[in-house]
Amino acid sequence: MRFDRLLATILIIVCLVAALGNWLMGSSFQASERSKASVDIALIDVYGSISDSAGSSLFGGSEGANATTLLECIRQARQDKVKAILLRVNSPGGTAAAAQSIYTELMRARKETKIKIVASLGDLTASGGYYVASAANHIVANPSTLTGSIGVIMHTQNFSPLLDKLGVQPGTIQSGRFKDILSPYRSTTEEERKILQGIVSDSYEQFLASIVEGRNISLAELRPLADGRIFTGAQAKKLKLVDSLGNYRDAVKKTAELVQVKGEPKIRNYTNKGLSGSLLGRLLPFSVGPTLPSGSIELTAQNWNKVPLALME
Amino acid sequence: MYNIFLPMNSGDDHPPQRGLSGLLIGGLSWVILALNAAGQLHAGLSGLLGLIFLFLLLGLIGCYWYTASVYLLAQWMVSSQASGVYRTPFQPWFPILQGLWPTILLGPAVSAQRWWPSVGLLFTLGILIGTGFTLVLAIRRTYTLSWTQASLCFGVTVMLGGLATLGLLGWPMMLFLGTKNFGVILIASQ
Repeated sequence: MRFDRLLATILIIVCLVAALGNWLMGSSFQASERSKASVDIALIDVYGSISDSAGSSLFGGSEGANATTLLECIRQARQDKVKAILLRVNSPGGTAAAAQSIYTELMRARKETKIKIVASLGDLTASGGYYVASAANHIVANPSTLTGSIGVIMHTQNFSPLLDKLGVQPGTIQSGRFKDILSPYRSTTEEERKILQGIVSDSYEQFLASIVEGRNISLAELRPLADGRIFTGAQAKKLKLVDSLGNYRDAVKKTAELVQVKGEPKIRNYTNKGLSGSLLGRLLPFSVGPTLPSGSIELTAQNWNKVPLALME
Repeated sequence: MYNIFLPMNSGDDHPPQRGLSGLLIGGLSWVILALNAAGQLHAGLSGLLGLIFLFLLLGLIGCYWYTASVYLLAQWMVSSQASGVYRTPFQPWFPILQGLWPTILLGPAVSAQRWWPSVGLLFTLGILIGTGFTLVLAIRRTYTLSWTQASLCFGVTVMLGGLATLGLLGWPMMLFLGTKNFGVILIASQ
């Protein structure tokens, strides 16, 4: 290599390293400033179906409320010593375990710290969505918010008549007689039905116990309301399922009042992180849902059948 | 040193190689500018990626318009046979991109500003003047113009660029505000 070319290459490398250093120093400054800046309210969005998945895609394309991400948000809010957590819930529900894990983490924060939790219900906060919201000290709902649907559901399917017509004979090799429980290739036996009913009932009782613990309501009061029916926000207020009526701004005001913050509280959205919240994420909003044809959305909904125990219909 | 980045025998010799080196220098300078900007804005990794994407996009769009303006002005200043015949698409881009090479030095210049603000500032100013000089030099060599013509070409291009941006933004705004569409804002704001 010629000497001048070598010199040019070295110069380019030095310049690149210096520019990289400029960025790294700037971003580390931001991290240190962020840790110093006090935040009054941690805003956590619980939007869409609640489930537990590995993580979001490159462009922040994770659909629904991911329990793992939400647990991380709650943990971060605790570390940052926020005064309150404001949950913005707009969810039709999700899987039992995912909703329960978020509820448990919120209750832990409520018991172990002085953090106050307020839930602001959006269009729909049903079933698993309400499960999560019931961990709040105070629930604010719009008068026309759809909420309730307290219950557990498990779907079974029997394709055997259809398969008979097609001349398909499915075969199963299994280690135990209940290993193919919920098999879609045959009808459920009475014994299996009892086992499954036991699981649903147990999960349902856990759900009720959680609401009783989280809310100021007795089991005797709750049980008649927890038959799967839905309520408007106004109806839920009368039935003590929510504490007050109002929109998101009212929920912010209530949160500030609970933690005794005068003036406008400092709010930071803990769920709007990563690439989805970044400039690129905003430039390339990447959500699969709206791009799918309606048939594909039904197909996505059918995937819920893979999760046997769900808190949504 | 600048002969490495801005070869003396410019013109239509080995256009693919010149194109590659031009794109490399342009891309490198935009990436360095994006890194500096990300540092100033305290952006994270995602913000940096967004800025790099934005700077590359804006860099290419800007290069297109500046090149077009320089080419037309150079054609007007000299006779058509002297202005050169291009054998490769985007060939007029190459000298403009290569002329950007001093901006690569903005990496260390911004670093210097952190420790020695006055020295860093002088260094930055020097680089910006140097970039102007290399761009004029690139125009001069490519279109075989005199120093005055090349400087005029560069200056008018910068001025026209600013005016064009103003006009391009102003016209749609004038049309929007001056027609019935203005009512849309009133309805939306109600």
